[in-house]
Amino acid sequence: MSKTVTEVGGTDGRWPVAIAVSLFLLACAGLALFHPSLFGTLAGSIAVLGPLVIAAGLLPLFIALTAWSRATSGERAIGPQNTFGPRIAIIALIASEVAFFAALFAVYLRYAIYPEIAGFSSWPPTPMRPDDPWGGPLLNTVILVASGVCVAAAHDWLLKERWQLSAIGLTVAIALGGVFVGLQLREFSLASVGFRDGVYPSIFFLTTGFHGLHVVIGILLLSIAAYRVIRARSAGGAGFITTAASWYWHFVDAVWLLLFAVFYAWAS
Amino acid sequence: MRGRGTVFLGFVSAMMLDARHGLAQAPANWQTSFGVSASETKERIVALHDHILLIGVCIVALVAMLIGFALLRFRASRHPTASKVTRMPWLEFGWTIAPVLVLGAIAAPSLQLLAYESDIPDAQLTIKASGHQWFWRYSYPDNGGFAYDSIMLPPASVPAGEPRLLAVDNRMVVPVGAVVHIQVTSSDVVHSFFMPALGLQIYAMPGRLNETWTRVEKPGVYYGQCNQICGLNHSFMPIAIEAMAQPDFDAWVRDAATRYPVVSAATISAQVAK
Amino acid sequence: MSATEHRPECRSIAAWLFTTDHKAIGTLYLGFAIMAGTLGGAISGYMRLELAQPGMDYVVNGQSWNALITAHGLIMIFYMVMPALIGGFGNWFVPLMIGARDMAFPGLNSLGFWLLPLSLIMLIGSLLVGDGTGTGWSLYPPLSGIDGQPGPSVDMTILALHLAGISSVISAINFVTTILNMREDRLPLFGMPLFVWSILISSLMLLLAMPVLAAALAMLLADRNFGGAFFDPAGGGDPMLFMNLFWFFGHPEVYIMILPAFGIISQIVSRFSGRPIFGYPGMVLAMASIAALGFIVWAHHMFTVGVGFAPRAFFTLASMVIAVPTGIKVFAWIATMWGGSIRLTVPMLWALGFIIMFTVGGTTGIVLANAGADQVLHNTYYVVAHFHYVLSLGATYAIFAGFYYWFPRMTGRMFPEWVGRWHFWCFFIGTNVLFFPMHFLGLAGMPRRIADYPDGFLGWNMIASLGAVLALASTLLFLVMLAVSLRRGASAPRDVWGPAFTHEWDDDPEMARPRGTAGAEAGA
Repeated sequence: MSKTVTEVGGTDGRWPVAIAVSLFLLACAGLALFHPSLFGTLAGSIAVLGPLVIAAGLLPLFIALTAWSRATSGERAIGPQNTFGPRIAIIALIASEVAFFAALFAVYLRYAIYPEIAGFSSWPPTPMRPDDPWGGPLLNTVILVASGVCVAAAHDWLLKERWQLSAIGLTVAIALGGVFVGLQLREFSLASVGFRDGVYPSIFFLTTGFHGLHVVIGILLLSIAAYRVIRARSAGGAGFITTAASWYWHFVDAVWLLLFAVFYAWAS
Repeated sequence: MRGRGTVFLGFVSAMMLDARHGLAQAPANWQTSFGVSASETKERIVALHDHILLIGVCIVALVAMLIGFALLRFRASRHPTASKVTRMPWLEFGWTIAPVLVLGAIAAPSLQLLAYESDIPDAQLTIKASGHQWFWRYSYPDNGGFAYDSIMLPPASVPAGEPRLLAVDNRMVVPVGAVVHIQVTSSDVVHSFFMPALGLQIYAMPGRLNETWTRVEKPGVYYGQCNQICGLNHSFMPIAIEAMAQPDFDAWVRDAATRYPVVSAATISAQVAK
Repeated sequence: MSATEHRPECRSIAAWLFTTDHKAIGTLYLGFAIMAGTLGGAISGYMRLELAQPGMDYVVNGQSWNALITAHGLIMIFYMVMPALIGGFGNWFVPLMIGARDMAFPGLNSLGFWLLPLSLIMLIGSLLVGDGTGTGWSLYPPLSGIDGQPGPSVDMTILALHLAGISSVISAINFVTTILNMREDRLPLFGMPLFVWSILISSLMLLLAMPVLAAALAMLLADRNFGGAFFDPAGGGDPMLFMNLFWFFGHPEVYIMILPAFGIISQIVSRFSGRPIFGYPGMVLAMASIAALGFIVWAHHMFTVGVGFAPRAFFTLASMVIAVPTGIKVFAWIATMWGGSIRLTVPMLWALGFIIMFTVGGTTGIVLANAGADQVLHNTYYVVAHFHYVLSLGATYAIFAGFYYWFPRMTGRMFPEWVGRWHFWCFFIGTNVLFFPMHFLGLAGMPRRIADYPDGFLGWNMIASLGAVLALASTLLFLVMLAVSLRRGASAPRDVWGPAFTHEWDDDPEMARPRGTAGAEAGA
């Protein structure tokens, strides 16, 4: 029986277990934030940490992921040595993210289209208003689209083996992503309504917040990609991570465009 | 809490009580189908159910018989060489189309029933039922707006002939033969207003006012229970509806209006808005 | 050595812990599912004990009863059925059936597994800490909100489900990649065994359904702990929205559980009828259309929440249409037997039990699909009977069928067939005596999720509890047989079931040898 299998992935089985335990610890950190008294004598220190306890919970996950990535250069998929497999995996991952954001958008649209069921006469419920879409949000849109263009160009350059240009493109994209996150945090801190002020701020902050989280993840992926490109100086050496990161970034971009259209432009 | 020793006695007495339960329309032991039907809705539901059940029994019997025949006829001992045929387009087409036809025979009466239930006739009386952890509050806005709570009787104080866990202190009262609108809401968690004898069920949703209707055909006391998990005492939140002739109902209303406090419409809508 | 050669050989705890071999991970999944199933079964035994007679004799109060029913449902769905069917059999046999050396991402495979026991620890914790999660598995707010359940239990349940959800999505990505990219030369998609198809379709459904649950749970978590108002009427939120999100996940979830069962039954019916499955393309299309329809029928769980005629009519019709592809599958199984050369082995017994019992559950499903009739059936024991016929007598029968079928392949040993037959008949009679009377209780109007019931429901409840005794006793028999067979079972050759149509039975020592850490150990 002829097999197309040509290579066996060299996965060190310790890291997946470490990551599973880290995710469990992260869940425990969340629990500690909600219910410090569960943790007995630790309750005092948890109270001091506050939301930072989540950061403490993220630490083992970050260490485990970094270690796994360093040990194996990320998981090398086994099977035919083409990028078809990893491509499927990234598409599947993005499909599940699409389903996640679709649920958030569905909740928003449910309230926006039928505000009267929830007892509102308009949406957003008066007196709440989103920021003027043609100010900060538009600037954010321009920044994120520009970073998307940079990533696309960087990916293209890499395929043409022009790794210096590619690295520059990725770096600019990362910087633009950072500016976007900074501006979003500023917008959150200046917001006139808080998360607790009803269903509109709840869904607004949750959706934009989750999007921001995905931007941060995208920045991390792009950073790994840039690091690989600079070290390897070739498309083959950089590996699939550049493609994966750029696809992910385009997905995050697309979500923002929808967010801008629905949560900002349409709402005002 | 009951001791192990009373279990058998409880069992026997429960079985013996069944005859008396018949009067009060409570569920009876060894009942294998629907209980009493006291409204046209319920009768129509029973008819649809029986229609589908007949078809369902035929399908299950067909499947079981085919498998049985196959086991007899095509056992390896009697049929050592398996057929190599794996496609028979006409057969496959047939077993795709046949279920569609059967479903059509179910869908038509099903949609008729749904339309009958959904088409709410004009009300002769409106009653509000509000779910609370763990009792129901009934109010009669058409009759001055008095309201009262309906709480399960503790087992020790259930009068003879009334069923344990279903008997309440104050029943919902409706006139026989009148179209009654029942508006259902909740003041806390989700409950479900479930009255099997009338073919009636609708959720009590906090923040929403649901409406359903019924027309009770026979006088009597009918029992149901909260049918959506609602916390600690979900098991102990019965619904009892007493249907009486219109003159008796009028007399009950006159008495109730003096006994129970009036709850203003504003209070009720505030409760709904909460 | 011949008996042990074709199973993953992990000789130390560390080797089991750190293995990335798909067969070893499949074994871990199956072992985990057996343990979780025993726990969930023990809880159901306790519940039947409580319900054997009126009164509240065993549970402390209604809240702890509610916590038990919640735990029973979640454990059986997320930690028993899914890990067994998808994680266990999927890991073991998808790569072997398509001629792949392993799963596409062995490390992610291990991660997906180890998240589950940790998640279960969190879930059991929620049962032990405070008052437990007394909401039912559907977790409807406001009961699951901070006012309804103030303690940490619901938060722990949500976090446990988040971990299980991450595990599911990771596994789904892994299966999709493996099946689409790692098929042996010249194995076309429409040449794959139906079990592989079922895992592929289930994985695609998981990718789209699980994140919706994650979003709904994230909102519930935000409502509880950060003062959000997603489902809180006081802040303009709507509890019905949670129901929609939950069931948009919840109904596909049902098919995620039953499609792999269909796959296993197809393999077994074909094998023991001595011929390939009849109407293969129709079987694939039937599964695909069940999956697609599964995403547009969710509101049939919500017929009584107060929606109008049009949505109820739509969801009634859409739900009934699912009977068509399901019928295709049942008829194709029968047609495979018809003209075949049938051997009534233990796995075949379980498969036939599945087909008949699933047909019963499917028929009551048609009854429940009618919004008009659902007014007196919704949330009654009729529903409990229905979903136990498709899951407890459906999915679970398929798990046992697959387990007996592949036991010789997985362990190199044979089980005593007479015990398998006793197990089947006791479980068959036990589960039917347990669940069939629940139809009567439901028609009579007994609500589900109650700890004590009016005395008129006594008779059939007592019978049901007697059935539970038999079902649990037969499960105990299975566990004993398993323990004995694993150590002392007769050595089983690869052709123990006769000629095979699928590749997992190929005697290929290269494929049978474990890899990675476990492989190093075994090779030493």
